Amino acid sequence: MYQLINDQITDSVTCVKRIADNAFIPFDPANIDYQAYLAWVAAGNTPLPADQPE
Amino acid sequence: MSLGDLGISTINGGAIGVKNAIINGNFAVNQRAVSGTVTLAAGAYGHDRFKAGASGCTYTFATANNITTLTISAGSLIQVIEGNNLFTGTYTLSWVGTAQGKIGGGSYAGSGVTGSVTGGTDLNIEFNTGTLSLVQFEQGSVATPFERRPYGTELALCQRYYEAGYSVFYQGVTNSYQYAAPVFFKVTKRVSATVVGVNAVNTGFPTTVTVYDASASGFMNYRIANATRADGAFAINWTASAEL
Repeated sequence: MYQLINDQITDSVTCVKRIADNAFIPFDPANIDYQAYLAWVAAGNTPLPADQPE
Repeated sequence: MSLGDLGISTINGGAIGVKNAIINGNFAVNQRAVSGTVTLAAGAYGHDRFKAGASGCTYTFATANNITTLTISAGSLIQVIEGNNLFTGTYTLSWVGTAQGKIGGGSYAGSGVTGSVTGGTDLNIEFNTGTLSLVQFEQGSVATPFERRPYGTELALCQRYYEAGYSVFYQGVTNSYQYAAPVFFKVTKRVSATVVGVNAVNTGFPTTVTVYDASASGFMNYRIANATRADGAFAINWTASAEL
């Protein structure tokens, strides 16, 4: 399971958190963890939404 | 002709200079601190730059006289060599031990396996069960003696793919204000890195760790203060992975 992460500084979603191990995965196509996330999404899964900015 | 006029491009058919395309071929670097009987799920990393094959991997290891030998009892162990470090031509894979190795989609064989390499393309080097040490992959069709690089050099080569560290923030803080501590990697990563942070200190802050702006050069360690204190602090132990 993953959750989108809203960057408080830029107020935009720039990475996703892998909840199982609290890994913050950047949106880089060459990052193998991001590739695994994309495959997970392609399999029909949906990440949890980002927490709202405080 | 003087000795200084000699132009030597190879020795024993092998490359001169940094010839070993395998990183951590002596298994000296172990940033993940695996120990005892190492049991890895498929794709999980043990010693730096080496990960389990499709069926996982189980191994033990011992070091004698500065040479580390793995004993692989189940599954296989893979190093993916980054294409940036490979050039088109014939390469030779050599090692010490009873394990068998293969190059890419080739067949397993004993030490001295040769194969054709396409420059710029990532390549799997894989070993099955048996003992394994002093792994080398070099240009040419002849296995030459293992290249002994300084430990600091080998560690830096590993840190292009994985690095562990500690980040601390400490100053007076105001409740509900946002604070961030930049972390700069010692070695630029292959790609933007996946970062895992584990809370180590939280004074005036929650325990929750949040990371922003992870790149190939570093990341931001971020929290929102939950108290006003003159001695606010938060710290994490972190790892950054840009493995293949």
